[in-house]
Amino acid sequence: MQSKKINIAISLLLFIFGNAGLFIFVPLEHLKNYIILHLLMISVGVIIILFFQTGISFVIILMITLLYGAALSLIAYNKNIFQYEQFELMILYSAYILSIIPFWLIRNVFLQLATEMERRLMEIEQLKKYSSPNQKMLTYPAFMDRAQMIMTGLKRRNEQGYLLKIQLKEKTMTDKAFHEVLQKAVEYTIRDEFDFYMGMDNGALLVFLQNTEATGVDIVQNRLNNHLKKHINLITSPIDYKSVKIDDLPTAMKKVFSVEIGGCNH
Amino acid sequence: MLAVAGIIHRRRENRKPPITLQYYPSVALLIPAHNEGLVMKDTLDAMMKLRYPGQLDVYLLDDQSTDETREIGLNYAKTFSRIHYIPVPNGSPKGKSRVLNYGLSISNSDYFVVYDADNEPEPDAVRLLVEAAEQTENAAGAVGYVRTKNQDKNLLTRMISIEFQVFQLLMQSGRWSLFKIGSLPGTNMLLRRSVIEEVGGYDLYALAEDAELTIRITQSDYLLPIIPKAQTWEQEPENLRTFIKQRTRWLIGNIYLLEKTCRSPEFWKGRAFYHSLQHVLTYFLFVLLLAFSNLFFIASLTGFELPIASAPLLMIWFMSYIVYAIQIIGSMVFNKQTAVYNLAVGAIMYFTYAQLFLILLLRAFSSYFYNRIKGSTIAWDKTKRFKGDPS
Repeated sequence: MQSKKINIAISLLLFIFGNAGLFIFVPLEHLKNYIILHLLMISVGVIIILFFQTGISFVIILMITLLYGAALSLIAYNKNIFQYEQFELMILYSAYILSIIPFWLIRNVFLQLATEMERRLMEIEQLKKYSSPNQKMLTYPAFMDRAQMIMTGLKRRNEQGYLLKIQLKEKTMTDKAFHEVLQKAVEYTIRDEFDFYMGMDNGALLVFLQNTEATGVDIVQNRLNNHLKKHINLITSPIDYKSVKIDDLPTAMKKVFSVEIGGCNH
Repeated sequence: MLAVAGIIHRRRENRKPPITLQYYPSVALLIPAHNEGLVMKDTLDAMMKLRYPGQLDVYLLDDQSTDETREIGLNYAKTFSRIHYIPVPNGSPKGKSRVLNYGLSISNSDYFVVYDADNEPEPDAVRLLVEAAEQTENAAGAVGYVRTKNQDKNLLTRMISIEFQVFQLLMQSGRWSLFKIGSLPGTNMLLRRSVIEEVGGYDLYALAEDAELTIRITQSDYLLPIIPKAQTWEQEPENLRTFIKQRTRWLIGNIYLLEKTCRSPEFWKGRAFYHSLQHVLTYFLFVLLLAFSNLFFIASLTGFELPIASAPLLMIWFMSYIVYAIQIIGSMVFNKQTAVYNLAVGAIMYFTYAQLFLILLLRAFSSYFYNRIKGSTIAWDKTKRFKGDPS
């Protein structure tokens, strides 16, 4: 936000300096020959900036600017302005550019703010999806909320749930890349409708498996191993699994956390 | 004209709906590397993030590294089936061309894509390139955009980043839009294996191997579509010394190509004519005019009497400067980089960064002719890498 304020402030300063320079350095008797053309060009530019999209308005402004410069060069040629008077035309042209570009920039800042707001709204919509049953990767609070809610249902139906912690056995230089592969594998392996997971600070993943038994947990592990084999070359699995049956969620979480896990991605 | 055509192309490409191919051909991703330990881990991490529905194999081509490149490469190759560590046998001449030719000899995919060892492509970059190559009639491959990952480091990296953006808007998007011409940028470029085999592989002696190959491919009537959405992030030199060394090598490569262009009539056939003409205009005619312009400037400063031209020369010069500045601003607008600071940097580039061209050219010409007279081969000079900020 600070940089946007600076951009607007500097744009306004450029506008002021550009036009002040015009009146200071170009004598009025010379300026009156061009002032109508100059004001007309600025007006056309402002209208285009206001009524067209950013990209299109920029292209049109760009072409008008070049045409204006070419017209001034032609005027200089026709009027045999080959000496120092050329500076006056250059100042006139600079004043035009310093009026139009800051105006375009300021409008662009406002449009950027509008786009930013739209993006934030979309992000909020995305976050809302964490409460959707089809979203597998959750944040820590969303994971806990959903796990708590599901546990109530499981207990009522007399079903079981498991926490499965998946972690690399040892730290290596390939950890970052491995985490990518592992996450994709978990996404692929766990059930769309029932299971979900979260990432933890130490790179481990914690999966919530609902309505399953110890054999179900083994099946998930095997599927995960088989999927990983397609992407890795190691003969022995580099992954450690730890599963905890959930009788009570806080206790199960404690059990998972107590062993070598430092914390969660909040 | 090129800037406007480039802007139109960018807008059109950004609005294209996503496509899905029925079959995704196999791709070999070649990374030539010599002592790239500083950046290699980040590069391989980025390669593991690539999403490609077909067979994708990453070949790290280690050209006699003496740092930790080998250790990092072996670790990744041991862990991931997608990554292969390939030690390239010692040989001459040294350089990227020989390493790439070796990479082609040990792989057998339908396509290959080249990434420099400091590159971190966007996850969909390879997929987008393949889709474009498959959907463009007579395409030799496809070319993506290169972005600067350390552009905020200092003024130099900012200017390099702006230069890249302008080049890609004008020379890639603009020329593709108007003349169906694209240039291989040396990285983030996909080629069909059959095409590179047909044109005879990389020229071992070309220091600007990408520019040289571009002309041969265009001469064979193949197209190189430009895909702005397929992006890679690369590191640029963070100090003037490294920048001058890198650019001198590029310019020597282009002088070699200028000589080859003048000696090869086939380089002037078909659409290759445009490339060759542009090459001669840039590295010969423009340089000549630039030399005259500077001579006149110095002469006028020293009070030397010059003929008075009956033309508004100052106004024309100012217009040229405005055209230069507008190109820069245009590229910023379409890369969503418009800020007063960027515009200010763009405005001073003509008087600072652009003037380095003459110094670089003098350095390159003297080195080239010195080596030609001595009859020696100009050695490949690897660009120094810098440790990135921890993410």
